[in-house]
Amino acid sequence: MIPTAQRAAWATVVLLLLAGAAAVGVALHLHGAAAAARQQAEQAWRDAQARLERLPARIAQARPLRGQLAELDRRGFVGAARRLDWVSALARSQRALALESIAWRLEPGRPTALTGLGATRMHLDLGPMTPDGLAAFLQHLDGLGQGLFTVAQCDWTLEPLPQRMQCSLDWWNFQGSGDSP
Amino acid sequence: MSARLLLYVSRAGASLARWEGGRLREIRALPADAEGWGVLSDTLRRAPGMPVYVAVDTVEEYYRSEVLPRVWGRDRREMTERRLRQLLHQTPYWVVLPQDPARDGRIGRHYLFMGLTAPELLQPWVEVMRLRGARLAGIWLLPVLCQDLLVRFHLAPRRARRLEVVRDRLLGRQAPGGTASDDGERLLLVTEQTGGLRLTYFDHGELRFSRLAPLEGRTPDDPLAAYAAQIERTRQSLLAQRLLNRGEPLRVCLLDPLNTLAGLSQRLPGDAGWRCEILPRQRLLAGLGLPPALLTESSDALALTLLARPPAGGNLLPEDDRRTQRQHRLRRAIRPAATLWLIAALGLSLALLLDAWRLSRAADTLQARARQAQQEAGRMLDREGGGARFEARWQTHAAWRWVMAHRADPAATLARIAAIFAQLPAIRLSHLRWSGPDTAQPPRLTLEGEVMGFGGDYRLAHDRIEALAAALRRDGWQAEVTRWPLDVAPHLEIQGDLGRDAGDRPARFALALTAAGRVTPAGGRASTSDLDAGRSGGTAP
Repeated sequence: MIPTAQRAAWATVVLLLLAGAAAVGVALHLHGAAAAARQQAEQAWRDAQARLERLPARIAQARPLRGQLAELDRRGFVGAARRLDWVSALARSQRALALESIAWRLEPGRPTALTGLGATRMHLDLGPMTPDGLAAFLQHLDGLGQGLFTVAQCDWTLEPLPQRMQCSLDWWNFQGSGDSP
Repeated sequence: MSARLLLYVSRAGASLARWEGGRLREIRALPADAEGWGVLSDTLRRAPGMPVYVAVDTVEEYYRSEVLPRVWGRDRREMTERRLRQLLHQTPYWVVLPQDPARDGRIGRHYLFMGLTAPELLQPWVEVMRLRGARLAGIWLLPVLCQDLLVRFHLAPRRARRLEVVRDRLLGRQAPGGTASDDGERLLLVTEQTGGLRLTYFDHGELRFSRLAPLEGRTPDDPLAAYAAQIERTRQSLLAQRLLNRGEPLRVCLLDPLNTLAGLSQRLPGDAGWRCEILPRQRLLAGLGLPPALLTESSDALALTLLARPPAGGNLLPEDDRRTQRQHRLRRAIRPAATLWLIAALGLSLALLLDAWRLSRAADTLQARARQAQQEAGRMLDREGGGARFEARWQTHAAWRWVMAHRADPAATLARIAAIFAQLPAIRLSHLRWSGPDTAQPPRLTLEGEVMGFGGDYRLAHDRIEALAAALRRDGWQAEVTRWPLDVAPHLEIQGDLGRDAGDRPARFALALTAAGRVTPAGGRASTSDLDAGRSGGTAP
């Protein structure tokens, strides 16, 4: 049987050890939290500083673009897909260039790797067509200013006559922050 | 040095003293009966927890010096304990002292086996201590304590001399033991004790033998004659035990606390082999730091002073008591260690907290700087219509650049290919597919056609296709024939016919073209003049 005094002594020793360990544990925890907070603050400061340093150059770079961006907005590049305008533009070009026939098909819109940028593929069967005719058609379609498109693919079949042209266009629209530029 | 109780026990009784502040205090003579034990009990009651150091000075003691093989650790312990059980089986109070290496040519080390052969002498005193729960720190025979005198009064040979002996042994030289060259290294220390005359023999500073000579037959008119006789008897005993060689001089040191032994040196003449010297009272007082009154008051004061600083070895305490001692020391050490740990932990914690506070302040400063930078950026963007509008513009511009990477003019490319074919009348183009560029690759073309008028001479047909491919390469394309007019792969079966009109049949071929690093601005499709000014350009042949 351990005497009471001895028990008390051992209890004191255990208490001292635990108190020391607890103090160190709490201090380590607080130190770790402070170190993490400092690291975060430093990262935030570096980011803000880097952004501030880049900003004048970005502003200088962006100023001349204002006119271009206004034109893009006018064309309907910014905002939802304007399918109606695209199809109407197609009809106007067909009439204006007196093309024999144009068959068109629009795929569902799809997102791209760039956030906010969407693309809609339009398949065209342009009937009898030569490269020069294709050039005139694309130029007219673009000149109508009803959207922004690029040509993804063209199949030119020379035989049997008459030559036919089947092209795929990508119509682009950007829905970024929703703010108009 | 902590306070301690000192008990000097002899057949005549005991002397009890207290050691405090490095000084001997309150020497009390205790009779070896109930009265003495009662006084000890009272003293222990008044000093709870104070360790008790015990010295024993009695005739019933045993010394045996032996040379045993030099072993260490557990082997040594087993060897010496086995020998101790053979020599001192009748008492629990025994100990062995490992000493210096043997000097007489033998391989081994001196071991001094010693013990108290009359345990009943200590029994009542130890019982009182056990009843009082006192902590018995150790029990020493007086000769073991006397070794300290050799150091204090420079009676032992210098260490250098002893090292010479070791060196001689290592070099295989015979030590010149027994000659006059080591005169003074064999010392007989003589002290007057309560129980008689204590004669202790040291060989090169190592305790070899001791005896207490009772002086009941001492004649009052010539006590020194009795002392001289006991000294001579001791020399004879040393000779008999072969601890001393015949004719070898023996240095005799007389401790004379009362300055009464001056005449003894005349009774130990040099021509009889004695070299006698006396440590007088003044020298003893100075050497031991004893108050003169105490030395006069008690003849045991000298022994008690030595007991206050016992040597590390020679403790007769039985193993059980030693274990208790060790546990006690451990208990005493653990609490300071725990306290030390707590202090260290608190110190470490404080340092960590201070550093955490420093880090927090640094974080606050950095956050303030970050806010400043953000505010500055905000002010710059406000001048551009606001941060959100600027960001939207910037993103729109980035999206437009992305789109521009996909732009190319297929019509011009198709026209140029058609022009190349127009120069080769024997080759007819039937189908052409143009694939636009994207962010990963430039525009690509696949074209199919027919070779005509080669009359079944496929070598000629292949040459024409090679010429076509060469013309396309000159125009900036990487051209690869994917289908030849005649596939001559060895694993295929092929057939044909010749003659009549069979030789005029056309043969089909196909080519794949890729733009070969020739960058030209894209056509004006899907662009306005404003946009053209800022675009990155497309890749198209």
